[in-house]
Amino acid sequence: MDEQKPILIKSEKDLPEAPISQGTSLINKTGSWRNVRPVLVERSAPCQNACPLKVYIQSFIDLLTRGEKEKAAIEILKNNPFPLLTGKFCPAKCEIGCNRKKYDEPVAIKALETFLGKIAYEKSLFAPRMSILNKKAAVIGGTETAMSCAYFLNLWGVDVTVYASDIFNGLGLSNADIEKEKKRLTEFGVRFSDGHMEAEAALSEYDAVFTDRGAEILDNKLKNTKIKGLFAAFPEKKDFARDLYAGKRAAKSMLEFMMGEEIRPDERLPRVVSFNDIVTDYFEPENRIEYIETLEDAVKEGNRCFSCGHCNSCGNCYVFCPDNAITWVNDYPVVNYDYCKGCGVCVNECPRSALEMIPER
Amino acid sequence: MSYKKILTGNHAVSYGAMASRVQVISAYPITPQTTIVELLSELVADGKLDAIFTKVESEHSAMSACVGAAGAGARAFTATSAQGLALMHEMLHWAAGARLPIVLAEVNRAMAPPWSIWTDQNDSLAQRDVGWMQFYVESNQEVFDTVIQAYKIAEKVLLPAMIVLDAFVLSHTSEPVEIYDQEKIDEYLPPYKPQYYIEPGKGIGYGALAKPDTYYEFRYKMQRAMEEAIPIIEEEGKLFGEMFGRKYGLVEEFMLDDADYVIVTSATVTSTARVAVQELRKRGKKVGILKMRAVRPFPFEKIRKVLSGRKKVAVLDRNISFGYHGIFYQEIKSAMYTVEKPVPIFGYILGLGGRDVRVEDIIDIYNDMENRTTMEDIVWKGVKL
Repeated sequence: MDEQKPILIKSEKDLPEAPISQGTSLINKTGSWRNVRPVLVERSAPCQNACPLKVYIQSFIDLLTRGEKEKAAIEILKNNPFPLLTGKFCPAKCEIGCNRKKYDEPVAIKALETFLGKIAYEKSLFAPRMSILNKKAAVIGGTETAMSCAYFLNLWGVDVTVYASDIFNGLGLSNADIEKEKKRLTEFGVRFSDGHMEAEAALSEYDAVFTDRGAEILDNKLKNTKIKGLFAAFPEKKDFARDLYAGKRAAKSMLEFMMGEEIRPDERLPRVVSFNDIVTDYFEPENRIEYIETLEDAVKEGNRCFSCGHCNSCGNCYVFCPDNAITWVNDYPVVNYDYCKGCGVCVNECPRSALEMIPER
Repeated sequence: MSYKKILTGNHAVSYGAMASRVQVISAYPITPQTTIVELLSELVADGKLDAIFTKVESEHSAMSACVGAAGAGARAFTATSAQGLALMHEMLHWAAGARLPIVLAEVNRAMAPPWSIWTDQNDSLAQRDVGWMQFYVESNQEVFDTVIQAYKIAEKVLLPAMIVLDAFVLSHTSEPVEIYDQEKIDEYLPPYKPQYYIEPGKGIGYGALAKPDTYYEFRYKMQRAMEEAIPIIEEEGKLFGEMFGRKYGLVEEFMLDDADYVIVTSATVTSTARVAVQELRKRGKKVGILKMRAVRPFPFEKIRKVLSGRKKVAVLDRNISFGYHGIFYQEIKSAMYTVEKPVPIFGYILGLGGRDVRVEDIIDIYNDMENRTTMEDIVWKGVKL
């Protein structure tokens, strides 16, 4: 077709035959009409909330389904020190909390975590250590709680030495399995000493000390003791993940102590997404895959996840926005507030409650 | 090579659309129109017609899709009837206001309630003022020919056109139709070259807000386009005759040269009237027919010229504007207001809801006209009450 000539209107005589206008309507920034705005929010999923270790389940499943299995494995390792052991011993409260349970069956989170854990072990993947702090800590004892404490201190940049004659005792693990975990911890940066060490003696040598025996705990939420710099926690042997969490919590208190900060209790997670927040119209019933052995199965099971409160780039908001005000940048929705009128369709149609309307200031 | 094919009126529309090389067809089924788009969908599916056939959920959407297609510079086509046309009403304004040369085949069907699928003209005449050209046709050949001409005229004046054919009397009745050589049709109707069209990536829009300082001018331009269409319809009808052997115009005159009495008809009633007039001529009556082909634009000049100086005129209306009179009657009467010597004009309502109009009925009407003196009466031909 012929090139369209520009319409220049100097007087009414120049009006085109048809009521056609050239130029875009982008000049009309209709966003000024808005009194509420949609924002992308991160809410917590009930699985994550139920997990004592607060493993960021919705995120690692999202990464897995995007084809990033190694990143997914590393995401687990940020909060779960021993995914193969949790695979054996964890009661999987995450699955009890899973919103999908109210739709058909909960997502097989434990199986997914074990599958990805195996990848992490095979490929020697580790969560990236935080900046090295020039702080030394001693962990006295070899229980799973103590090992968890050593793992997290190391992860957060502390120089950790473990004093224990044997580790992961009483769990019924084979020597080979124990050696495997020890080797990984060593690779990660944790030092093991066979020598005997008493807590009081250690305090003169180290900036903070953890023990899993013999110390009286002042505040169980903070794992501190009467002795300044000494922290303690013991496995209760009721819930494996809780026992690992006890070590993680002690490590957090120790870190705060070493940095001269106030020791604070855990922060609450953001609002948990309930089943009623999920727009189930966008899902189909799908059988749960109980035993996951292949990546294909893992992705298929991962796709069952509602991804509660976590944007997994499904694109519904982008498709439904009646004003094309949602743009797609690096595979994520970005609201263009120049044109968003605040109608809220995106929030209504977000299947996972990852968008919310907030009033304009 | 041209060839003859036995076609129903509806299929003549489909073949006409194919001959016009329409590019986008969007329609929703409704009796008695359905077989038009049914055949078109088959022609598209069989690869005989290179067009996009868009299924939609209503006539409103069908016309919306045509508006979008025509706005992008495509030759768009749809067909409908009665309630479907009524549902399209809003978008008919849109097509006309945006000056999009869409062609619509409207199979006249009486409006419900009470439900009817048979013919009368109230559905199309209810859309008289939306800014569409309207052509009322008499035969299946005229259907085929008018679809092609309608695109030519519409694309010249940038107004949409409606081809109106009677339900069943034409739509479902088979007649031989001459299908002309496609190369010749292409010569008559070259591809549509829009002056402006919406284009992805370029900011072009139809129908943006026009404030009181310009809206008025756009309406003036629409009326001007309608006026310009009057000579164009004549020219294109003449050219069509030169190229294909069948000449068309705004109106058709039948046995009018020496006629004292004129019967004004439209659509298929004309064919019946032709037989009646020939019979009356045998009886020595000086009577002829003025067939209304273009109703919008309304050919005032032509009508004044043809009807001036006649003794009496009868206008046959297969429609009624409730509370006034037959719609053609009103229009003819107002066209004749300015002639020097008044001509008595009488209005007859007949054939509503597909009631048969027979040769005897028209002879009766002629006799009635000869004796009638008061013009204001509505004469209901054959009403049983």
